[in-house]
Amino acid sequence: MNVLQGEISEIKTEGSLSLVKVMVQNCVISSLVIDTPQSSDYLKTGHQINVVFKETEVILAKQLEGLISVQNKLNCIVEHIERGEVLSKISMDFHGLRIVSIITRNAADQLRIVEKENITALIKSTEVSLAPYD
Amino acid sequence: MNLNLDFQIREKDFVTLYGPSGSGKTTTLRILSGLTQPDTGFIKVNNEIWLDTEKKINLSVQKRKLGYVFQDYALFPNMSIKENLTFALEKGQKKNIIDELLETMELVQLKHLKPEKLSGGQKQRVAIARALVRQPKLLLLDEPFSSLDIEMRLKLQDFILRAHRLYRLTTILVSHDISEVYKVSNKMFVIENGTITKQGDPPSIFSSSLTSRKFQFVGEIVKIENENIVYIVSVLIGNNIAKIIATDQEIQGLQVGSKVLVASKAFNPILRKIE
Repeated sequence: MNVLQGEISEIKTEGSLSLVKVMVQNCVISSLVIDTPQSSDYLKTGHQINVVFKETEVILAKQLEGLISVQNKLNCIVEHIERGEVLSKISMDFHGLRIVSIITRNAADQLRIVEKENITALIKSTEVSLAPYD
Repeated sequence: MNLNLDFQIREKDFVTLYGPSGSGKTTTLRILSGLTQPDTGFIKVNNEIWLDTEKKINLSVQKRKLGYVFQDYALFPNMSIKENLTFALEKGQKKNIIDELLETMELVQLKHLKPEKLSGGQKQRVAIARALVRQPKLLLLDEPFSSLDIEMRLKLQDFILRAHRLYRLTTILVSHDISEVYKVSNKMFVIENGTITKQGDPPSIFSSSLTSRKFQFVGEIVKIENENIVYIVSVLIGNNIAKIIATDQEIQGLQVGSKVLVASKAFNPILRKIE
């Protein structure tokens, strides 16, 4: 589980769905939730909140250009790579925070990921959860 | 420690009293049943006053219409299963309830055996059936499944739920098994140091730490496999085993038997009609 601390900066609601923008290290991470400010106390602009997403939901890209529908594009630096037969685990630094991605070994090889290089971590808004501080 | 409680339960609710041992859960059941006398108290069930210390009203254990199931089965060893049930009949009560209960609790095949011939789970089924002989409206269960293995526990939870619905019972269970609380009860009271600290439905009490999760279940870990890079954790949720991918960091502090919250975003499950 990747857990990043942030602050809610914007909430857009339609029906029971809300698109919540959270400031994390001066970058915006958006999360789509089935909650509204009316139904949930935690949904308030300015609230401190944890942004949570699974390692297997983190897509990696290098030299990303063109249009892409994924809303969360986080510029990271590769810190460590662990290679298995089928899977690879890539640990990254995101402005001092740790983000981990688990992708297939094939994908990691095709991207020729090496330590210390710049890489973009992509996470769909539908895969980002929000949780209060413990 | 002072036990100081004030709560109301609706008819046909299945309520769990949840909390650490020594917090006053069992004493609460004993006070409801009349086995323990509180210093002061008031108990009203369906417009009938069971206890009012101010007016010196105190209905005896026998007159309070309730069934009570303890952790140890407390069956008469010298009587057969059927005799154990028959013994619980009230004077003048029709005997057909005995056969009905034997059937409901799937004890017909065992009715002539003595308790010593039965497994723990079977004995507890007899104890539940016996508690229902007088057709009480209130059923009290004091950690009835805690000495049983997980499979037996799950089965007995189903029996309890069946009885709860069939006999339109109001049931109060003492338990500190989270998955059990989730499965059987629609309301819970958390009792700590003799007072109620939280109350509500189990999901809202247990899941406060993951606010935006709409797709979540509580279960028990039955297997953890290391698959290089990731772990595959098998979690028993209700009667189903779910397999979940986890990282080394995620499984820290977890082992077989640990109770866990399994949560996902609501956006990727697929729904499909089954004929």
